[in-house]
Amino acid sequence: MKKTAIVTTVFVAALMLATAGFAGQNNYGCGLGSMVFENNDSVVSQTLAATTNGTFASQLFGITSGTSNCEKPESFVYNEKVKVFVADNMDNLAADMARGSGEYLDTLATLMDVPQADRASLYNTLQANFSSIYTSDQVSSTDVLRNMDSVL
Amino acid sequence: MRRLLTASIPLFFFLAALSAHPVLASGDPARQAEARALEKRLYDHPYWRTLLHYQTGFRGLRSRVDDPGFFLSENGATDPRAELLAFIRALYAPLDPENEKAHAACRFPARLRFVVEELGLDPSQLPMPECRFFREMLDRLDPVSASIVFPAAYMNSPASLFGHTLLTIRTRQGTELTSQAVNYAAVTTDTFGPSYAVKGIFGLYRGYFSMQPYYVKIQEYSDVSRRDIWQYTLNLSPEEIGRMFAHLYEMEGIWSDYFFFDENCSHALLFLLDAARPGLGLADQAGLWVIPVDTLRLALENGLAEDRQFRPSKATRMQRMADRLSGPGLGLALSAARGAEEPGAVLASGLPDREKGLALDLSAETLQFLLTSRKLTEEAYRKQYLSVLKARSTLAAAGQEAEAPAPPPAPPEDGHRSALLAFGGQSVDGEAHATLRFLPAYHGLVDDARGFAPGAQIFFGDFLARMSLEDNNWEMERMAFIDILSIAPRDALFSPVSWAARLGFERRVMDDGTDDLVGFLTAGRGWAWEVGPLGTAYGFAMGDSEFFGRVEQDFALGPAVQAGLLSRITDRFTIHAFSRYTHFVLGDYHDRLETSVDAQVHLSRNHAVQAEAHLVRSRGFWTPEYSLAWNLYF
Repeated sequence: MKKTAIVTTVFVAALMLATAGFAGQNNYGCGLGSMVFENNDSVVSQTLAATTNGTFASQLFGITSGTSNCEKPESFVYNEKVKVFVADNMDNLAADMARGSGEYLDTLATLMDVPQADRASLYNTLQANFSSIYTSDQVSSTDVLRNMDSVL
Repeated sequence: MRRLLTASIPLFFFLAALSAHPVLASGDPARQAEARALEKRLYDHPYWRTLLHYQTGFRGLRSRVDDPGFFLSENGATDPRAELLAFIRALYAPLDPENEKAHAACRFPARLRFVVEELGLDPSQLPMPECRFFREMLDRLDPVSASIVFPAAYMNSPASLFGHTLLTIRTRQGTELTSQAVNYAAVTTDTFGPSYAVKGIFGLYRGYFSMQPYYVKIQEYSDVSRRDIWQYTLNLSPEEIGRMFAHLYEMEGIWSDYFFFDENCSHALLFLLDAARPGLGLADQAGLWVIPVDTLRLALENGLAEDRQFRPSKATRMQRMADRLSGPGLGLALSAARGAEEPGAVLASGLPDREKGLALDLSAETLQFLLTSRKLTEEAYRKQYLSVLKARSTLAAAGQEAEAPAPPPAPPEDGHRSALLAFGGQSVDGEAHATLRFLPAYHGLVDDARGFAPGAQIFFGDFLARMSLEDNNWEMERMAFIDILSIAPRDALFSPVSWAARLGFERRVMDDGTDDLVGFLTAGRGWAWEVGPLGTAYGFAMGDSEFFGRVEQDFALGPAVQAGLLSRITDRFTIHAFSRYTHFVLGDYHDRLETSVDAQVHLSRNHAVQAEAHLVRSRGFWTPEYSLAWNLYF
């Protein structure tokens, strides 16, 4: 009996030690700072939070993680793919825009169908007008799209 | 270079071509198709086995899929023949125009294609639905290429110790970031560690396939978890990717019991690759254990990968930024990120403009880390992040040189193999022994670190037996179920936690001077620093225990400290030295001091010579052991 109790205790303790730091939920939103948090890697690496919307149709028909929590973007000149991408990548896109280069900016230009030759000037315009695009720390992806539209 | 493929063949075009087939002789077409399938023994066809995930294991032939919704026959999980016949009958079932999605022909597009092609069925004889839903999805996907993606090991999550594999499908419009990432994962809402681990190991979770934009995965792995990512473009044609997607579509919403060690993320992907290219048979080549890097090797050995790209994690890129900054520049960048200085201070500094830009870029990245590691509230982060970026936008654009990549580290497939067999000799207290060691997984501190996370030791099932040359008796010296040591150095940018956990049995000296097999469980956290050319020094605070054997009261429990130094002297020579002292205060009262100097010469990728001097003082006895072994990784 005693041995069984010790084995159980030891095994549970070992597992607790080996798995310390499992917690967290994905927290996608649509403004700045709505990103994945540390310590929920357990939820993402071999596991998937039950709340994550990973159905194929929702991916292919453009209702992704970010936009599902957001106010619906008004109809702009921008296509659905641009809206979804901006909503899902607000922070990394902001950094690229402020520095005038980067992978997120390149993807934005690709989704907007901007030819390679025109990209340098697009990036310059976006960088120069960064403060009028990301206007405040409460800015939403819809605001960013609208402000981009008025700058360009 | 990424091969750009311009021709995409929609999956269902082949049906049009088939309509020229001779109409079958009169009679019930379903019966005729069944008869033909039996005559051809189509149920034994390897591709049918791939599509239904049949494998021969302990319980005979059985599908790896556990969801009854995946089978049309009641015995489908174990009977490929019954399942094939049931599918053929279902193909000829009348169509409900309101719900054509549910018809077998639409529900299982890959099976449909296989059966129609192999039996030469005449589509005009089938109540052929349009399957608009599936076709629209395939059109939307519009694949041009696919990749296998390997995020490197992440030591701070047990689920990620071995790395991970997923697939990405690049679509025609978009970039790498907007590729679709196909991931097989256990679905859980559990956040409590032990139950998670138990369920993960014993298959109590359900695994599902999911699809998400690759940028979501990049945020998780690269941005938050600091994992470098390796990407291998597969030489699959758009037509083959279409086949793969047809099978993936069949797998949506279908669950299988998820086993951390074999039916895991990596194993499931093999079936997708097999579905893409008939005849590949990767799933049957996989061993008993499926470690992500082995999946990767399997794909490479089968000539599936065309090229390799390295995507450094955000942390790796930050390290490189920090390396390019001067001391004052780095100081300002960190002060701006921690809110000690306004970003304006960087602009007002006397630094050259290029360095101001770099410093603010680093500040912004650091702020993201402070947020994701919860050292900053979202509120504070937003304000600071935006003010750093506003300052940054007033400086010139970062040139290409800002992103200049440093040479990537050795890729994971270049590392030593995952299992180890070692033959050697040992002198214990002057008595000579022959030793045999077997380690099914995975990597030790003194092993060649090429392709592995440096400073990460992961042993699962370390087994050491020895035979005394005096009496020729074999005895078990050690059986460690788990022995993990994660040594993560702290620096100006990051302060990661080092940790250790060991559980197993080993021979230890008892009060009367003889030895006995004793259980041990040790765990703790630590701190590590780079100490220049010496390597990495570390210290741990631990809890240690002994149990079973002739341990009095069956247990001993007490605090322990461990200090050590890991030095990679050259690419071919590594030394690890440590000392651990435990004071067992509960149960069997005693203390124990263990000191070891362990060195390895890496002869080639899968061969090494290892030597260790190991000295224990416990219960008033000194036990010196000297070992020498030849390591074979396989």
